[in-house]
Amino acid sequence: MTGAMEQVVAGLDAPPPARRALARVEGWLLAPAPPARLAVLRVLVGAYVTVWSLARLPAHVDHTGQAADRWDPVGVLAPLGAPPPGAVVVVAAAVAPVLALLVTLGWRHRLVTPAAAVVVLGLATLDSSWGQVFHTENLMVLHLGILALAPAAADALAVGRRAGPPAAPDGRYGWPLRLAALVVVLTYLVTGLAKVRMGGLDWVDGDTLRHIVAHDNLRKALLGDAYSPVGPALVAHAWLFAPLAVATVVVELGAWLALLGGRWRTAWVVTAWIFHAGVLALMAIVFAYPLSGVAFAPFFRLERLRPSAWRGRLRLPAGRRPCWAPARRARAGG
Amino acid sequence: MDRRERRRALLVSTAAVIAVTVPGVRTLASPGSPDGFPLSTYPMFTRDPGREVEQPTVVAVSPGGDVERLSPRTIAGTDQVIQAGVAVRRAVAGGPAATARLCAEVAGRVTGPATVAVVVERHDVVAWSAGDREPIERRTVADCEATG
Repeated sequence: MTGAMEQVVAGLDAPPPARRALARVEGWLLAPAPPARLAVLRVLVGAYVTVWSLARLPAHVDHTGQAADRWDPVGVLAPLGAPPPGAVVVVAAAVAPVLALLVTLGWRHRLVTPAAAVVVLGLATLDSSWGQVFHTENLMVLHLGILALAPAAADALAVGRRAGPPAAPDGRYGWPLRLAALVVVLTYLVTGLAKVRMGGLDWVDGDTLRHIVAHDNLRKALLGDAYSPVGPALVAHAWLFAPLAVATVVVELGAWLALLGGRWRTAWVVTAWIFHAGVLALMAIVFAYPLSGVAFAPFFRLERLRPSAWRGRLRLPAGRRPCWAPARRARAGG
Repeated sequence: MDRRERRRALLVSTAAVIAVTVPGVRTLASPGSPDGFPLSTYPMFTRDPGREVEQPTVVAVSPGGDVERLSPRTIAGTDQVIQAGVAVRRAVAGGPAATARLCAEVAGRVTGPATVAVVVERHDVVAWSAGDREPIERRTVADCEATG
């Protein structure tokens, strides 16, 4: 354990098993990782946020025209008694994709990524401050926030970085990745607990889920929005919804399995992805961050995605040249 | 990784874990805990809406009596369907003056000739899913002429 952890634990007069447990947690969290793994996560999250902020730009600007009496702020905007000035919103909406692109490139990471995290947090919170809190971008905001607090996230794959051999694996590259993974797990656990706590064990008998799917599509239809053709069709088959409900709760409460790594991790990520695909199919609700795969990226050895790893795999046999390369000229004198 | 960095990593991680977990703990203690962003109790899809539901909405009725569903953007100036629904629900709950204001606001976005009506429709969600699109009951709370 570090000195800091020792002081805390000694102050708590924790028994030896607790100290051993804390030491194991610290060891897991701070275990070394290669710099490229964290850098690839930064690139993936930055690229996703760039696309998100560009796609949402018109909607963000539209907030300036919303009726002030619908203002119902949450999170960091909760102290505001009125919507933020339109000019502020427009500037934030315009700046967000630029900052996100710079995060992707790793340019001036220690300055730019925290700025991007603040702007994106503001815009995503604004989206949820008109009477309905959305739950599709929480992980995106949290992951960007973790990257903003990880100065080492641009030690590789970054524009303007001095050329040189890559740094050795270190805990400074590991803890943001493990924290990002832990946040994913905790988010799904909290979601599953909410269903069981608020809905009770009746939630898994299938009727609740069946009514939820039917109601969500009905509401979309009555409010002139696109709805799923699949969900209403499946509602006729009531027997389907008990296993679907059980599967939903198992995926959410079983998220901790991903922390075991290996096949458990892969199995959970695949089933979680299938779960979100199912939500899209049955209710036309897009959880884009998990469906893109970026939400689950922290669980994997992302350094295998970097271009230099591909070049190694694409290397031609000795003596062979790629078909697009010009032919070599014969040397003078044979 | 030096001592200061390790301490910082542990501090940030502990704070993040607590922040993400606290809403869940609050939910365990009190299911009605308020939601937030990005630290959420994730209450979506937790409660059974029931088989019969009442859904407020705003429609445009042609002179021939055809009912046209209006989009979230026409209803509430947003692309988010749930926020549009909340806007209508709050207007209905707010009484005649609030619904009249909503009606007039929507009427400005609808081209005539048409009557804009704030209505509350009651549906059997299972029957609706099976193809029965007519409401059990449609109650008009306010109406006004399109002015768009």
